[in-house]
Amino acid sequence: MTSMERVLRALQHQEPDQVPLLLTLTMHGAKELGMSIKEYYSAADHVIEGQRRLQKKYRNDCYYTFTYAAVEVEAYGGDVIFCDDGPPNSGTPIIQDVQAIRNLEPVRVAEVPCLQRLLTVTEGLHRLSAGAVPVIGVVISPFSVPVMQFGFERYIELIYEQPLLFERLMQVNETFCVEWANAQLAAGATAICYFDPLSSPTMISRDLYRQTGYLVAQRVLSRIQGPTVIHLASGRCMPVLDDLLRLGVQAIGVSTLEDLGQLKANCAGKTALLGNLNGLEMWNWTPEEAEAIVKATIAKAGPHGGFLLADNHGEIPYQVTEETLQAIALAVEKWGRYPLEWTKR
Amino acid sequence: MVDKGGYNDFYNLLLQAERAGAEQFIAMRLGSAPPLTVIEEVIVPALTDIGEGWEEGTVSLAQVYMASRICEQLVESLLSGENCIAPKETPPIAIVTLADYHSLGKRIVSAFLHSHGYRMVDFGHGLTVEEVIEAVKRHGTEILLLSTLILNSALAVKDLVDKFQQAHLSVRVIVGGAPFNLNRKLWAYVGAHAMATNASDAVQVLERVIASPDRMSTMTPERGNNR
Ligand code: B12
Repeated sequence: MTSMERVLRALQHQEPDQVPLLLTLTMHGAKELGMSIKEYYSAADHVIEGQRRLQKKYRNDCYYTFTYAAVEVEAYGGDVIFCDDGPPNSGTPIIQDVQAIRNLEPVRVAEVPCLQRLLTVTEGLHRLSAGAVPVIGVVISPFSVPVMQFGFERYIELIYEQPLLFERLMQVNETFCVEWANAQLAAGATAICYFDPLSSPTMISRDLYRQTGYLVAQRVLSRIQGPTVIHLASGRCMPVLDDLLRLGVQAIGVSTLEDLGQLKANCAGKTALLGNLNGLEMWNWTPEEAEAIVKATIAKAGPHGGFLLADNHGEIPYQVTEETLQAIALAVEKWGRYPLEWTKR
Repeated sequence: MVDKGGYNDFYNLLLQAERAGAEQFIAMRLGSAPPLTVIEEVIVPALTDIGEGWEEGTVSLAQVYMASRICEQLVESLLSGENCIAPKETPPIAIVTLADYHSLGKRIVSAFLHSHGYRMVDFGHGLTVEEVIEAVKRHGTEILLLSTLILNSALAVKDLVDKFQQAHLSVRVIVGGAPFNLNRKLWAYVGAHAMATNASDAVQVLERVIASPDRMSTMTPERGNNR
């Protein structure tokens, strides 16, 4: 089976030859190419080559076009702060005065070099894949991105205290998000991962979610012209699981903070699960620990398909070693072969 | 003693971020109890339960933040003017976000600590290890509350702690933030004195650290599930 066939079968809640492994490797490409993270992200060719090498090395079942969340504020002229050993951070929020939301207009994807660079990455990986390896694109949800546009504190206050300006901000962000997602699909992305950690009950209550982030997701996902995955970036999802299931996504990215077996039982036959290895523990796993954890994870969610093994955040930390990643890949090959007879014993 | 039912009402007002309602509620309580009693028997317990609710997954971060802001302002106004009381006697405390440009964790923790009567200096966010050392020397910090968001910043605490030792600075470091919550061994690995998982916990841990200078080898990290 090709990676594409493997992933599609799992998404159809059938058993492929092996549990698909979706390693969300980003900054590791810079290590492969022996360059700084900043330099690596500065050119599409670097990222294409980095992804090519990583996919081969770890028999990864996807190419991943994600670089850093802050690209969505860089698109509006915001600063990105790079460092040598971790992901870039967004700098000073681009919206300083809440009233400025009234005049905010969505940027156009075609006019923004940093987004065009990512589309070049998508096109390049699509060509490389020749239909055999899924290319995963990423958008940050219109509901979550204001943390970077506006600052977290002021954004929470906006949600509670300025409903009209909040709605206006959502309109702008939704227009952008839909255009950005569809541009990635047009460039060859197989599916779009909609990162929406603010919608996690870890971040806002279920009641408020239903009046805000849920409606945003409903409007946006229905306008994205391709398969979608919703990812709460390691925030909890159980209390809003029914809402997420109603969104009609192909898969949900789930957290290590929740019981994977329980999630699987609730989602079986409805939506596939993506997760839930703990990236923050992964960086100091021994190969034996990696194998044991992969095995236990597959035992909980692997049977009957509908499961894709990944980390629980959507980005594996830079500090995770080659040895650990190899141990994970080997463990999937050893324990992830369907029909997973060993889990039935 | 303020009535218990009142506490529940106040707790619910905070969860709904009803600032005006919460202020009105406290104004009414002040008719029958002095400000300090209202703080200690209504505001502090409600805020503590909200912080712990986040840890248990029943309260959201946005609710914690709004509640912390409302309470911080209430406490400040209750303790101003003629009601002014001296802040708690402590060794010099400072709070900082190391390397990251995300200050909400620090903001919430300091609002909780303020509501409990603690005073501390805020060094800001996005500081390098060297900048933190400079700030500590200038201020004479003995207890440093340190927040991080990204793993590499959390790992940089090790470097910071080593450099404190090399410089013979005896600073007790209490860490917090997502990397420590999601990896319960990390605080010990980086050589921190203690960790706290949420803002209510931060208050308790700080109290214990002030009371005992020894390293907290078996505290919060082992407690309960991850959030
Ligand atoms: C919401 C979220 C987002 C949102 C907003 C993030 C932001 N603040 O800017 C968005 C979508 C923008 C986002 C993006 C990214 N994220 Co994010 N995100 C999260 C999530 C779900 C919550 C983080 C958060 O803001 N929480 C709210 C704050 C207030 O909580 P807190 O800091 O934990 O503070 C509480 C406690 O920890 C404690 N505490 C905090 N500080 C202190 C200090 C002391 C002294 C004490 C005692 C206690 C204490 O009390 C606080 C209140 O209870 C976490 C996962 C998680 N489950 O926590 C990932 C997480 C923080 N993200 C992560 C990453 C990597 C990123 C990105 C860098 C990804 C990328 N490559 O672009 C970007 C960076 C964004 C930016 N600003 O540039 C990682 C960081 C760890 C790592 N892997 O290195 C996390 C932990 C996910 C994971 N499981 O790996 N993210």
